[in-house]
Amino acid sequence: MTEKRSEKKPNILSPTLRAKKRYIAYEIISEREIAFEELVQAFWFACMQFLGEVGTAKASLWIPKDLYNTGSHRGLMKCAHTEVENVRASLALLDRIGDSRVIVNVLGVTGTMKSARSRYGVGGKEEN
Amino acid sequence: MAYLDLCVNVGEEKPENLIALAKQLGFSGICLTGGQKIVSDEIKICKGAEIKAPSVSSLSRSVDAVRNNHDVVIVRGGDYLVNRAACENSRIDILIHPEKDRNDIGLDEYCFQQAAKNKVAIGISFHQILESTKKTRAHRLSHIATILRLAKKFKTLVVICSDANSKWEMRAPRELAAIAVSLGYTIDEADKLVSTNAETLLQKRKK
Repeated sequence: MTEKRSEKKPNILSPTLRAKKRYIAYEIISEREIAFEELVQAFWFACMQFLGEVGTAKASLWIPKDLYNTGSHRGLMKCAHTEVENVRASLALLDRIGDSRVIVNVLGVTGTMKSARSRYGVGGKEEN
Repeated sequence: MAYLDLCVNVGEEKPENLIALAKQLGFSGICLTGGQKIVSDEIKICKGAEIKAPSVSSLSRSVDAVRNNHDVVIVRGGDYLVNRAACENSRIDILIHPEKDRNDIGLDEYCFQQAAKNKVAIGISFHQILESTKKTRAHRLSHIATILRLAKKFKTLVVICSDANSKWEMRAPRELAAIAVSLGYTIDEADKLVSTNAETLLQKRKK
């Protein structure tokens, strides 16, 4: 019989203890439209292949669906601040998503979603 | 910062497509090999010559034939004697993938010293990494990491090129630099591999 868990969640960590993150604004140049599900699978596969399980774990990747625009092929992903260059290298080595050849072009790296939206026009709700 | 990709092969791809994509990715100049001289208002275009020499004597003859007509002379490495001869020849600009199809890096201390003295850059080919998988890729990356470490020690110029055969193999300059960062360079050092070092090679030719 499973134990009933309490609804209470742990307190949010203080800013000094929180993991430091960076948002990577990217653009996909491809032969056809790329669906979000394919993109997520491909990104994780690329990172696992290049960085391995431990490296990908350290990168703390997060690729949210509502931050990807299927029309413009631009999106935002989050990673750990120390692993940005490794994630960049992994994305550079991604040459196919499904049956389509692709180039993942990193537009820039920011500390907040708001600055990514204002600088690169990605990641806003109004995009979708 | 002016980013340059010093080895892009025209092949079957239209040069206009390569130039447009290079501009989109953020390059301020590229070197096209295997095609006619092209002029563009959008970015700087250099004409490059690729040499695949089976022997040292054919290498010298090939360099003499192409040096005056091309902005950048690139020698495809692999054979140790050809690698060594390329490092000794100041008329050569880049020795690309010296570690190709080898169990070692294809260079020794003497080669690095000569390359530094003659301002011959060691070229890291992104295409070689991209086309390999699994264990082969791990071996190639290991060799490249060794080349980067020794080049830093002997102050040899290193450049990272896409060595693209089609537009789908081209990558933005910071992505190319990220390979060097993941192999132990700092961001500033890696940035130089796609910018300052490439500029130095073009300036060498002008002088």
